[in-house]
Amino acid sequence: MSGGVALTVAIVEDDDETAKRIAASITARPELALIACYATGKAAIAGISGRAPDVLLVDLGLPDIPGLDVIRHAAQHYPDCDVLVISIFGDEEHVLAALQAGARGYLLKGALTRDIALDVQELRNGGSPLSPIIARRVLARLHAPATGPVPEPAPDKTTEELTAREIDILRTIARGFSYAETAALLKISVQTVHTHLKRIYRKLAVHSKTEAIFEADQRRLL
Amino acid sequence: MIRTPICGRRALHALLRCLTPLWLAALLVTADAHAQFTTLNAAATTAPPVTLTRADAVVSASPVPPPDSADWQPIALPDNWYRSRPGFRGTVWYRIAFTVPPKGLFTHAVYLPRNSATQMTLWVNADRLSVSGAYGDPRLTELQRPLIYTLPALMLQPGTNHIYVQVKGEADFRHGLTRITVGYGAGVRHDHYEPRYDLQVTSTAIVGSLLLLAGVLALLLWRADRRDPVLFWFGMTALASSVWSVHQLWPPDIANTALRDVTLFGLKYLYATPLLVVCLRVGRLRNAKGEALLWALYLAGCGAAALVAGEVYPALATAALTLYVGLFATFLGWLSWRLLHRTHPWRAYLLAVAMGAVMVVHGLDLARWLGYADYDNLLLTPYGTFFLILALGATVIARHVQAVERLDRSNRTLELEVAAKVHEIEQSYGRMQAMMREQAVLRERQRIMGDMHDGLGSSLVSMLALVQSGRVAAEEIERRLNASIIELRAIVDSLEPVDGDLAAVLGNVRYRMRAALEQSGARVVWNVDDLPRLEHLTPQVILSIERILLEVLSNALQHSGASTISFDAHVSTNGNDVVIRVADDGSGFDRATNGSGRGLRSMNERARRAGLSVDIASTTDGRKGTVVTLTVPMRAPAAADLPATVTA
Repeated sequence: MSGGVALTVAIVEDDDETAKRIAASITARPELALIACYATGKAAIAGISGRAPDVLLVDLGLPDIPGLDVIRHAAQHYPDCDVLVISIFGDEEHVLAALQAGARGYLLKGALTRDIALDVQELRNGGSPLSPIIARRVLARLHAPATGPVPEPAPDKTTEELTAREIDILRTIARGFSYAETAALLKISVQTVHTHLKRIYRKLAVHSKTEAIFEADQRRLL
Repeated sequence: MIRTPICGRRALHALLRCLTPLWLAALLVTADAHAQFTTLNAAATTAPPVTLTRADAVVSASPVPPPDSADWQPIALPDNWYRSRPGFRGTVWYRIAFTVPPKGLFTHAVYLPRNSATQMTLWVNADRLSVSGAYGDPRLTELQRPLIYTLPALMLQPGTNHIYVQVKGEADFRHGLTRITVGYGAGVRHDHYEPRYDLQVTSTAIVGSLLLLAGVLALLLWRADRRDPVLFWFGMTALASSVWSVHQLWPPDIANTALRDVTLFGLKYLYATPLLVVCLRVGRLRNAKGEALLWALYLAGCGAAALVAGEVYPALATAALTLYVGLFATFLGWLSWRLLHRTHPWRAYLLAVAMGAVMVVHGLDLARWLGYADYDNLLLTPYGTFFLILALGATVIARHVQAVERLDRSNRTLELEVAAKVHEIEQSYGRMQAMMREQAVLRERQRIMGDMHDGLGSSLVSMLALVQSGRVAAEEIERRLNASIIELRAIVDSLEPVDGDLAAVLGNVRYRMRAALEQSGARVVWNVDDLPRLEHLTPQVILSIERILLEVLSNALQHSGASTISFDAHVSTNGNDVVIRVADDGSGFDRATNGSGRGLRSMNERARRAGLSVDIASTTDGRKGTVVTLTVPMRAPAAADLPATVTA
């Protein structure tokens, strides 16, 4: 507690076991402070209106309203609040939907305890790591290249289109390179990679707003 | 494809349907106009012409009228040599007397209903008036044209005058002399010559033209749709009849007797054979042998005409005419019998009536030829044929229209049936697709279950056994549980559609091993190229690659104590494979003694089943560590090279 104030964290998770595990993982770290634990989406929305945490961990499968709604609400009303999706592995489709709804990253439900805290830290430091598969999907969603293995529908040519550099970054990440390696390969700083990734997340969210209804419908996410 | 010709045919049908009444109307108008004209002129004539039926005749080759002292014998006109002088061939002089009243010395005319000789020379009193058939062609007698000669008043005298007619001919060719009409020129022309001309010449020309038109239309119709051969035969019949009609008026003047007789016979009976064929076919009596016989008869007739050249031609004509009349009579009898016993469409009755008319007409002509009918009668055959052809045309067209309508109907039915079949096939195809999808899902589920059972399941079971034995450290359990979780993630990850992107699969392996790699502190040198798309990258292959790599990485981390792990993926130099190379600088291992020997075997087996190959190079003495090379072919291996893991 020497440096500064601990990051405040809130959890929205209906599964008691998971909630406890994540809570334990967070309370174990002195730089993180768990301030709330909600079992329903409505309770979470009501709760964070009083005091928004620095980091909000949201499970998608909530009993009352879709977790995506909570994410959207938080992303719109509390821009300083970073949302992390609690996901199970192999659930990349939902992760992508969450990213589009405004989440900044994701936690794996089955992840090791130490990883959870690590992910929260990384998120604050510059964005949670994109897995190669998610990077591929983001690429597919925002950019339909003439070449390359991305068989997704072409997005409209609007401001949310990816820049060449962003595409390079996503492609490199999709090949398994870490941010630092990506930065080295592309001869840019790691900070620049993070900046680009933030922009990519934002574009994903903007893109999602224009297409959310259609795409959610098509993909049966909601 | 079918539509356009049908439209064309419909238009032709409509045209033909309109034309039939038009033809009849044209005939009626012609006849009516003629009748009015005749009435008008008859009223204007005060002294009616006289038709002479009494004459004197003498057989004489004299170039001028024989004197009164010659052996003149009184005869009655017309004089048909076939009856009066059977077998005669030569020249006969006729003397016909007529009276001119003293105040009637105006221009007269002599009228004969037709030319009836090889050569005929007319004299009035002592003056030669004209010569007909002067070119020595006996067949000019076929001309059915009426003859008229003007008698200038100068050649006449008050009181008795004489017309001398020199007739050269043959009895067998029905030569002889018709009645002769003499009188006031205009009167003769209007009362006798013109009506006869209209009936025999103009009408034949009209009929011939209409037949030509009908034939051409029928052939056009047939050309648009060749499925109805009756239409073709009808067209040919009409054309042949047209030719026949024309030949009546303008017989070909051919010097060679054989050629001439063949042409005449050929033309004369050309229409008869196809006409009979059409009649038979319309009457549903199509018979190839019968039709062949008819054509054979026709050709035999032509052949006979050529062979006998002139001499027996009259007998041949008699035989042919009799034969055709007989055949028509037979067919008509059969048709009538059928009509009496069953009800038929109107066309059948029309046809029967028309055939009856043909019978009458041909019978009359045959009677004239045989000398049983008046020598001066009109040749009627063209009219009979015309009405028969009209009736046939109506029948053929109605038949054709019916057939086309039936075809249209059946086409529509067929279209509906085809549509129903297509629908059925689509449905069954859809069912099949759904079934195949279900099967594929089932297979995939079985595979995943198998994977989980073999890998994860057995790990959990052995872990359970370890825990139950109580002889295991918590670290070992943690390690094994981590391995199980990673295994589970690999299974789930393998289902992620990566669309042949092997680099993404490799990236994912690294991502999943992230925590373990960080914990071990080993340096990772990641060198994965942008790899080409691999078509055969199925979940099964992906899972095999992931498992092998996970195994290799955990080996490197756990056993070898490597400080650097380099991970390399690129297309081989020959372009056939993607080579994935994982090298560590750890202790390496000895295949023979190392406990992971079993793991290596299963790794090899796994690779083989997925069509991959693994090569492990490791030394225990040097610092090089272990190099594992996994080769993924760019193209799917042939089915035979792969063990049957999936059977349809």
